[in-house]
Amino acid sequence: MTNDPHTLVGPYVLHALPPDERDLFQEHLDRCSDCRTEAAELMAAAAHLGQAAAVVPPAALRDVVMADVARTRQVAPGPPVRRAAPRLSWPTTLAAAAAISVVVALGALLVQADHRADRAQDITAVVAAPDARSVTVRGEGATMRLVLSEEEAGAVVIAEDLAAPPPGKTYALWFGEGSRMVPAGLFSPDSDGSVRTRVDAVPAGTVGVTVEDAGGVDQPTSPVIASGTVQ
Amino acid sequence: MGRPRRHLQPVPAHPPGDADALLRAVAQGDSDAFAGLYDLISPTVVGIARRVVRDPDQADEVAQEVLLEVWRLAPTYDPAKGSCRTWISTIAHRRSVDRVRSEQAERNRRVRDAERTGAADPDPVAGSVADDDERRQVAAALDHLTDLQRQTIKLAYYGGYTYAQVAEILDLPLGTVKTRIRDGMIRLRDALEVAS
Repeated sequence: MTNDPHTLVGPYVLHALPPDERDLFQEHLDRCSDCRTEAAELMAAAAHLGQAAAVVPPAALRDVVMADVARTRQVAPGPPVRRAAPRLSWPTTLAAAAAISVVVALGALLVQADHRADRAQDITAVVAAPDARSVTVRGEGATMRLVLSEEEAGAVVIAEDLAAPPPGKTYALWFGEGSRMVPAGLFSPDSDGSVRTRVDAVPAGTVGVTVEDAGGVDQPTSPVIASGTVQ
Repeated sequence: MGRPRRHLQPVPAHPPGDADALLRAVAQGDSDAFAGLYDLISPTVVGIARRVVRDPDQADEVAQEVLLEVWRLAPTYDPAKGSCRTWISTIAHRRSVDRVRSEQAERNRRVRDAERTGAADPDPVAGSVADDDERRQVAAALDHLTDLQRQTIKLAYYGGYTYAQVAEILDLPLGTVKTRIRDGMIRLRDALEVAS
């Protein structure tokens, strides 16, 4: 059970996960009813820790809050708006499609959705691994994080607000091996600038990121825009 | 003329001690019900904020935001996901943690301080205890945990640290902290169930 994402449920109910790992675990919760049940139960236990800390509130607070309430509108009923589900890109062929190809395209869409679920699972496995470590990969104008696990034989690139690469280009990840840099994988941010990409390699020393042709290259051909070192 | 006449009080539509019933009325815009709910839950909200945020002025500011949030979000509360008290404590804790983590420098300073003083158990802050029974029950339940489980949970919950910071403070591997917290919370849940 070395790669059990369930272990994140403890830090999750105590609000002790960093935002990116919390998002990943929430995606996992959407799919795992066992974890949802456990999270609800442990959340209730955590609430007892809070109740045990209860103190007599300052007398003035009541009037302040009741005055706030009198001038504040409540939200509409229904579940609170949460982050959107992963977007599925609608195959472009669909635009001109006849009924038969709609069926084919829907099939493709389902396969794609399935891949996304698998991918999210792979990512969670690395992040939740007991030996997971985190490396900051930083450069001018680009900061990302690499979470790696030897047990999972993989690493996950995590970034927010990363600029889109120029057209026809992609970000390339390199791991140092002796004096060489070996290719570890390619990644691009989604339209929000966020990156969650798993690669099946684990760096032992330096980590670098360059911008390369979309097809990928055997060795870096452009300056390193961000780098870090595994401690 | 007899005794001075008192204003007639409307008969409350919901039993005064029932937080869940009060919250259902609050969800329909009943601000009197909110006043009743306030009396039940504000000690916990203020207690959580003071314990996590520490600075009493900042903590009370957070508590004020949380209590208003309870009013604002009451129509979205889903009883299937947990009790009213759990829902409110969760909001209070999340907001308090957000406040202490909002500044990187502050965060680093706190971790350094905790490492230096070996503050494995964030002390309770000043303020008169509002719920002695609950406090005793939770203290008894925490006694069922191993030292490491108790330390990691207290640092994460009362200290407001991320599990990575907890690992740094206690000089433990990340994976150990994750599993200790989960195992400890499961034991805490079980011990509280037995006690209630």
